This record gives sequence, structure tokens and C-alpha cells, in this order.
Amino acid sequence: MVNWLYSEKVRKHFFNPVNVQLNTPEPHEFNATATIGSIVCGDMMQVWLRIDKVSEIIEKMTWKTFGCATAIASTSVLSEMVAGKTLEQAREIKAEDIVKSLEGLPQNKIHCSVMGDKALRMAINNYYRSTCQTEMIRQETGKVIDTRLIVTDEEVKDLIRQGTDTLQGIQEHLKVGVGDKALIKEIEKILEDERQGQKS
Amino acid sequence: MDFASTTPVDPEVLAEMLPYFLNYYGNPSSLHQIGRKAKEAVSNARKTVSSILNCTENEIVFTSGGTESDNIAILGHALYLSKQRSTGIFACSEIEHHAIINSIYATKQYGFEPFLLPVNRKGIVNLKALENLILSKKVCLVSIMYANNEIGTIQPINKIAKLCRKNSVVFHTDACQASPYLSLDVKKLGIDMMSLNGSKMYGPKGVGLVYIKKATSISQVVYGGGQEKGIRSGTENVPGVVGLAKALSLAQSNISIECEKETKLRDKLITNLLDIPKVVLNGSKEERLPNNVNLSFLGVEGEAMLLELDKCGICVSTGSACSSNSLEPSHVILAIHKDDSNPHSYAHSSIRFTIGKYTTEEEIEYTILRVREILTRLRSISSTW
Repeated sequence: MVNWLYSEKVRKHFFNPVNVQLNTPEPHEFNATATIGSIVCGDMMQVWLRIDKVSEIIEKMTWKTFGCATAIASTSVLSEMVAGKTLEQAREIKAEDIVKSLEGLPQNKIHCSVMGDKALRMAINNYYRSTCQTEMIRQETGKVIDTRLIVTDEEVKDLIRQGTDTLQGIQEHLKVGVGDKALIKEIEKILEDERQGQKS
Repeated sequence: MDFASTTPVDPEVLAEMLPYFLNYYGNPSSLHQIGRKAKEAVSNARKTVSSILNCTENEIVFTSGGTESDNIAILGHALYLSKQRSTGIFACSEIEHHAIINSIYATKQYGFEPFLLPVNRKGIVNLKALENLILSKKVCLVSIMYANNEIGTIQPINKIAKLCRKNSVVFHTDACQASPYLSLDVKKLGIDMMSLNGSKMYGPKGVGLVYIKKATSISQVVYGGGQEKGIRSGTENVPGVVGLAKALSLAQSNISIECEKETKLRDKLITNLLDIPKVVLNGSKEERLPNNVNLSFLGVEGEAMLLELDKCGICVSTGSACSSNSLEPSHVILAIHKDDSNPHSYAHSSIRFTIGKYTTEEEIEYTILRVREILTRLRSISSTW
């Protein structure tokens, strides 16, 4: 901890990230892209996917990230994880899988990697949309309440049911609604509803 | 490059302190020889400090640091007024240290109303807003820092003090960052209370003081054996107090040399880094501490930059949320950019470099070089660049 704040794997991917999209790509280089996050919450990333149209296997994922060391490292490691996977396999990658492959992250840093898998799923949906396979588009479960970070009400409810029962606790996990007063009200309402539900 | 976070102890200060750990370790309340020796040391330290501050010895209360000094001044006064069944406003600027803002908000428990005064884009308190507040409502206390810890902006303390005195409002200032660079003459400044801290001026950590002008009413918030006139009970930190006095007298006697030297280094760093596109200076260029450089490197997140610099052996601070305990980035950077289209982009990308008396010109040049390299790399992988 004295020499470096996070795991060795984070160090490697932060100082020497892989698959960075250094230039603006030509339209034919990739067939899907998606952007997630915002400058307000301090993390923002874009991913590009090159998908083989016959096998629907991801040949390459490139990315650009504005964010802290763990945000950069988590997108970099994700780009390694998805190469060679089918779209269906790639969709199954969860935040926990990214955290695991980074050899762990501090609790308050998890939100950074939560974003990479969501950006990936958004890009996959965009691919299906552009290839007219709308039946393959899969929405996140629940209603999206934070459109910048694509956080759903179901994610918030899950967290509350697992014992996180304060706004601050929820924000520490999901970063949802930071700097957005209307959204904070909505989260507080979900909290209140869940509390009532648990009582009855 | 992080001297505003804390400073190393000056070897001269340490030398003064050591005998009070090893030989004269007595409790100043004891009547025997080693106790009397310790009492004498505290009394001498108080004399030194009061002559620098141009006040009486009775007006100095030694504490455990800046935060405790701020708490005693604000909550001590609030508690006194609440016992008189008084109500009103406790005000501070929106860019105060959390030791002040949170103490101001804590006065709510005694029935007072907290109020945050706005600052302009240079970080200077809006005097008109202060005057309007004082004239339109009952204000009990105003606390405005002498110089800001994040952006180094120096406040017009004289004018604020005058305004407060004219309207019988108690005025407190947190002078922790100002102490190595600005005059601490409380009479000339015209203030009622002032907080100081050892560890920002090459003194020890865990010791500070609060100046409380005679006839300023404070109720005790720390109970115990009645030391420090009952305002701050507890056995005196004798080596700490000795170190604090020595550090203060060294720092104050070197003001002109240090200001000249550090201003030159500061301006070299600022000029060279502002040459890079989309780099913004946070805070006033003129009304600024000689040791403070705070810049937003747009397109790059502060923690990433900090860790890259750390790898090169350069220590800095950032206002980004990623490195704080909360999810919100620096309230100071957000406040000075509140009229810009995206205040958060400045806050998340802000880096504070603070120079000290041991900083060399070579270190400044090395820093400029490394910042340029790191910025190029991080901007090349950034989605907002």
C-alpha cells in the first residue's frame, strides 16, 4: 500500500493500458459504440466494438476514458476480457467480474467498473439496432432512473434489500444522482417505499 | 509540492522540543521541580506567541490543532449565547475549511441559523453580501479564513473586521494557511478570534492555538481539570506548545525572505503550466499566498494525474471526488466556477501544488516537465478530450 494504492493489476492497466482508441476511428473500423457517464460525476467513457457479422463474435474492443486510475484500469481490463467472446457471452459480464479480474477494488471505487460493463451492453444493443435485430435488444432490468450512468430503480432496490439503507450508502455503491437534486428525491422516495414495505 | 497539507518539522523546532520529551517531561500542574520546569516552558511559549500576535498572554488558548481551535471559537461562542437565550445567524464563506463549515452548521443544535456567504470567481468574499446580511438580520458571528487552503486566495480581513466591529458582530478568522506568509498582528487586523496550527508552519502536528480577544464570550466545550483558563482542559502538550511557539517565531521572522523566494517559484510554475492549452488557474492571481498553485487540467481527472505524479516522486492534492471521502468534488472549486457552464469539470480536474521553504528551482523545472508528459498521455486516452 505504501508504494501503490490499488492492486498490481490496476497498476499495470493504469500505467500501461491496452486497446486505447487514440485516434478518431473511421466508420468502417467498428460497428458499434456507446458512451456512458458524465463529467459531473467525474467518470465518462466511450467504447467501440468490432464485431464479426457472421459469427457475432467481438474481435476487438477499444475505449477512451476520462476518470480516475481505477476507471481507466477497469475499462482496459474489460477490453481484454471481451475479445473473442460472443455478444451473448459479453452481455453476461458483470461489474463483479471486472472487479475480480482487477484483483479487487476498494468499495468506494466499484462504481467505476460498474460503468464499463454497462457501456458494453449499450454498445451491443446499438449493434443490434443498426443491424435491424431489434428483437435482440435487451434493456437493463427495471426503470432507468439515472440516464447518465444507466442506473435502474431495481439496482437501488436490490441494494436496499441487501442492507444499504441510507442515501449516502446507495450513492457510495452506485454514484447515482450525484449533483442532481431531483434524482436524489426520487432515490429517497424509493428508500422510503422500501422501508414501508419491509415494515409491513 | 504539498506543503499546505502539512510541513515537516524544522530541525531547530525539533531541537527545542526534545528536552521536554526526555528531561523536563513534567505535568505543568505538578508543584515539584520538573512540573515547575514544564509550567515555565508553557508560560514562555505563551509570551513568545502573544508578542507575535500583539495581544496579552491571557488571550491565548493552546489546543490540539486548527480544527479544535475553530470548534472552540464557534461552538464556544454559540453555547454562551444560547445560555443567554440569544438567537441569530452564524455566517461563514462558502469556501471555508470543513472545520469551519461543519462547526457553523453545528450551531443549529443551539438554535442558531447557519449562513454561507458567496465568493466571486477569484474566491474573494462578497463584501456587499456580508454588509447586507449584517444590516438586515441579527448576525452573531462571522468566520472568514485569512487565506484559503485549496486556492490560496487572501481575503480582505481588515475590511471584514471593520464591518463586523462597526455592527458589534464577533469576527473569527482561521489563519492556519496564512501563518508563514502574512502578518498575524491581531490589533492591526482588528479581529476577535483567530485559529492557528503548528503543522502548517514547520511545527509539530497535534498542537494549535486560538486567540480569544478579552471580553469575547466563550462557554467551555471541553470539561476537565480547568487548564487554559477552563476553555481547554487537559494536561498541556508541553513539547508541542514549545515547538509551536518556536515554529511561529521562525516563520514570522522569515516572512519577507520566504515570500519573495516562494512567489518567484510559484509564478514560474504558474506561467509555464498556463502555457499548455485548456489549463485554468483557480483563484486570484494577485491576492494569493506565495506558495499556492491550483490548476484545472481540463480533460484529465485529478486522481489519475495525482497518482502519475506520485510515481515520479511529486506529491500534490486534488479537488476531484475520486480522492475524497465524499462523492462531491471540492466545494471550493465548485464555488468559484459556479457561473461557468460546467463547474464540475474544473473541480474533477483540479490539482493543487503547494511550495514550501525547502522547494528548489530544479524541483519546479522537474515538475513542469513531468506534468507536460503526464497530461499528454492522460489526455490521449480521455473521452472528454
